[in-house]
Amino acid sequence: MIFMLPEELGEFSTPLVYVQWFRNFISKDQTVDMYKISLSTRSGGYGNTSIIPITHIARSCQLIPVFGETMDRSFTRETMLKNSPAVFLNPYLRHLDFFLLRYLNSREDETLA
Amino acid sequence: MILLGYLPVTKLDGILKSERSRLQHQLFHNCVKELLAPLIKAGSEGVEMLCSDGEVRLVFPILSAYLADHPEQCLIACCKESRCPKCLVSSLDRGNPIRSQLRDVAETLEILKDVHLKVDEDDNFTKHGLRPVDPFWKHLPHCDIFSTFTPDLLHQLHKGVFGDHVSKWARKLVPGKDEVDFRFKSMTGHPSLRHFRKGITLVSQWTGQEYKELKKVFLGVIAGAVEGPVVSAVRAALNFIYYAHFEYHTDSSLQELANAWNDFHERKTIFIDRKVREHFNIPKVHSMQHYFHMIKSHGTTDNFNTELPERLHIDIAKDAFKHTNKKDYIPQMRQRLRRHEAVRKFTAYLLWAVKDYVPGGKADQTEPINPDPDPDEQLGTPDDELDVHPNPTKSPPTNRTSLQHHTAISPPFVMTLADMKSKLKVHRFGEALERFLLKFGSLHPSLHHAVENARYPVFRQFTISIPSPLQVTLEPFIWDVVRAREGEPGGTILAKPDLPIDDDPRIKWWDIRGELEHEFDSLCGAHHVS
Repeated sequence: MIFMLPEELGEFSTPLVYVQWFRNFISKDQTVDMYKISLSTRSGGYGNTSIIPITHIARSCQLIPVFGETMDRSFTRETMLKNSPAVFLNPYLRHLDFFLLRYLNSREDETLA
Repeated sequence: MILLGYLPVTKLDGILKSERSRLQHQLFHNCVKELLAPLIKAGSEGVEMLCSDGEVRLVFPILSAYLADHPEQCLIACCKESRCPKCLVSSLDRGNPIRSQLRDVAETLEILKDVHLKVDEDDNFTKHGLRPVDPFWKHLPHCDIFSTFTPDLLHQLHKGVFGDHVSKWARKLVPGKDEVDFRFKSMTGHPSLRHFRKGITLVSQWTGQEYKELKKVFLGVIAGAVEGPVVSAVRAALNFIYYAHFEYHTDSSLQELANAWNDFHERKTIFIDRKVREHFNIPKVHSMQHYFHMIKSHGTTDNFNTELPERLHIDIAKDAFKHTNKKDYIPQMRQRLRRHEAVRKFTAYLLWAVKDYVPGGKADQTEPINPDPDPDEQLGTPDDELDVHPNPTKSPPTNRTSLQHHTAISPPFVMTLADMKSKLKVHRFGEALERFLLKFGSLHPSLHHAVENARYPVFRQFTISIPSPLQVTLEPFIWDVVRAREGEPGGTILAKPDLPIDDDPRIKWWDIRGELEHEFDSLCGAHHVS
């Protein structure tokens, strides 16, 4: 949800966004060479949500469900993100994404090595 | 781009069948020779030309790039279609990553000299896979015809290597008839993505656009369904295509292109092992080999986009024909094009000479905020109250190095916490906001009560203008639209995790904008709970 802070709660000129977090980008799946992440949860099983200023958002992205060997047919497009145990960060969505997630990423790996 | 002429198409009905094909080739060469005749003098003696800076310079125009498909390239190069028009690779080796000698103009002309007078075809003629033609490029100055054939992303890579070949081989290896379709149907959405609502098996018309859409999610679709080596082989082909697309290259990005090519050739044998392919002796697969050097010598592939000339084929051939009375149509088509050209030139002049001139007398329309609406997404929000709101005004970003975020000037909805629960299925917003406000140092005497009772102005979407890397596009910005959605996770984003917040967050937060670019390590995935 994208909203403005009502005046009675404080002064804030930047729009705010209510988000649910995924875990950090730590592990890469070697076969697809994509970051594999899952939803971050708080104790009690609730989603790890917070409110951040819109300016903390760098760009949009696409998270592809990890379908596995055969897809769970009870999932639909709408419930996919919530139910899928893990997702891949897609580097092929736009050339912009490829540049960051493939090219710059491979440069980084090289520097580290 | 200007039209030089139309080429005649004739079946040469009155001529011996055995001679037809050779004469058809020769006819083409004779026509092009006629069209390009002025280049011989111009290229060797030079022409004085008015340059855009107002100076007159002596220019030597030469033929250096020729956009054509594989059969046309072979026709121009005077070689058989089973051979490469650029190099001497044998007709059986085109699937292998071997480097072959490049065709040489002088050598080829020597072999072609008087070839039709000879009784026996000589060794070299066969070895080079040539056809007996007197080529149009014989006398063109400084023209290495074989190096003029430029990469063609649309036909060679999108439709060819990926669409007709690699993606089909991989799909054959997915067990289960409808598995791939189900995955496409349930693919997560994004404004820049087409949703294949019925899967892909039923798509009957595969155009370049469908293949481009397919390749955006294909690797994620087949992951898990086929064994690892197949996924890796497809991945290598995709990487090659994406690197070939760069609009700006450095040695390091060209190296990545070469690596992807090597990687593909190392991994491709899995398709033979799994019996979906017997060989890779395919012209389009071979064409990848020449990309590296062509980009180095002729520039990036966007310079040679064949989508533009294909479009012109419609404008100046099909449409032009439509506007004639179909009788003796060529002069009519010529006249129409001359008039169009005259109008275009005069318009350009008026734009330069007359202040605030508006072509056609129509008012300038402002650029739409969302150039790429996804019809699926619009359909997916039946709730009237969540109508797409009017375009936010978008002031042209002044700072060309940092991210800028844009929302509508006035939020289209005002909601209470109860509205959010009932309409947006958002249940834990209040708690999150309280946490946020406490962190921000709120000294509100009854914070919980105030949060519960406040009315929140809510936006439907926002747009980020991202300074574009040159490799992606020469346009300065990419507009990235992020939409919130009802009752389900909305758009997914990369965002900076919670930061320590100072006493005066407004200043601090507006100042961090510039830091976000390409700083991948500090980003986290998140999605809107809309």
